[in-house]
Amino acid sequence: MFFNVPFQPSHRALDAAHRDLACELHQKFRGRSRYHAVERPNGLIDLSGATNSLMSDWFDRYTAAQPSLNASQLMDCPSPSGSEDLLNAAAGFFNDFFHPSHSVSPSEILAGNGATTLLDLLLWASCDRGDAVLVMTPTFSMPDMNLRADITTIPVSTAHISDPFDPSAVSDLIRALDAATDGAARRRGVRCRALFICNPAALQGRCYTLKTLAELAAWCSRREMHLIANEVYALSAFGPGSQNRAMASVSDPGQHAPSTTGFTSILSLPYVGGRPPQNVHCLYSLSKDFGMKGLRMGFLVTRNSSIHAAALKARYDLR
Amino acid sequence: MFATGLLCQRDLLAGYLVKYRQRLTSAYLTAGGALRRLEIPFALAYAGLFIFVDLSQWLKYFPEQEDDLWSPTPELRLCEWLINHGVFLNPGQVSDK
Repeated sequence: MFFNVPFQPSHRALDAAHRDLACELHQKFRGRSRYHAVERPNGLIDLSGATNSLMSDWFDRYTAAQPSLNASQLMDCPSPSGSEDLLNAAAGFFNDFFHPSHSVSPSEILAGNGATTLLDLLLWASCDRGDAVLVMTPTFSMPDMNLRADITTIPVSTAHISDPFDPSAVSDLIRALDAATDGAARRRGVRCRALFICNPAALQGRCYTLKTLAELAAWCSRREMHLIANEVYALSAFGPGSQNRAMASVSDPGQHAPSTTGFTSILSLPYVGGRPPQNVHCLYSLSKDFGMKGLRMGFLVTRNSSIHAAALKARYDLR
Repeated sequence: MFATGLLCQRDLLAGYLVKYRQRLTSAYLTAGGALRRLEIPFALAYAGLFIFVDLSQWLKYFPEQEDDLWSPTPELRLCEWLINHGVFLNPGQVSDK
């Protein structure tokens, strides 16, 4: 008698459906035709996602020059962490472009279907059910950390800080983080287990300095938290020379131009006790800097071999 | 396979980044310049694919309507108005939950 009666989703699925405003907006308007200069000039200009189409011509030429696929490339099953070739290539990429304090080795990398998937995996491996993650706001729409990892998100507003990216503001950031952490414990009975930052920051388009990153990492260490840096815009910082020209060109004469700083990766944090920081984790993907959202290629870099092993095990079981 | 091949070619990627950053800077100058001419406040940026604009002075045209269950806040009503007039921006509510 139940063949034609659809079962409802789980309670947690129904609950999650109403939590994501960004998703609701996209769902409501997904039927609208998107703008195309020739085919749909009256279409909707969708600036809701950070889509990088600046180098499509470069990729047209690059992909046209690539050899065709063969069947074995599609049928061979890679390691859960990614193929050896991929991890070697990724390690070289991080070492060349992220300037880590300690060379990234392939064994410190986990490849996956995008940064969001790897974030979910990292949270599952590093936080227990009911733990909380601090997220400084404003920020771009966050993935729902409660969805599978069952993590509470604690927003930490930085709106009261005139320039949260200036190194002089780090004490203000720490005060806000302390207040949020203690408040979460006192009012909600949750343990904050990680601080999640975006570097460069999505919305503000600003980079944290090494000093700020080091202070945040030290604070996390004192509070026994992981520091997770989403660095998906790592290579989208304007070049040093062009920064000043860009700022001078668009600055309001009455507007104080904030201090400029190029990108510094969380991987640049210096050694502590003879080892690279163990509880600092870097997420990256090819979706933003290279505009390849469809490729679904993300990387987690962590020096913490236990966390890496736990995430790898979960990845194996989820294949 | 594709990602492996691409990430291995770091000289090629270095060249990509030079061109990419030139275009990104140019795009930012275009957008920032237009926002300035239209007197729309925005936060100066040095990275990324976005600009954080302040449309709060236009919220007064979208008073709260308690009976509109979909767009209960002026910000969401402004967002929907913009969509209906051809541009989809992320409202600030999405960014500060």
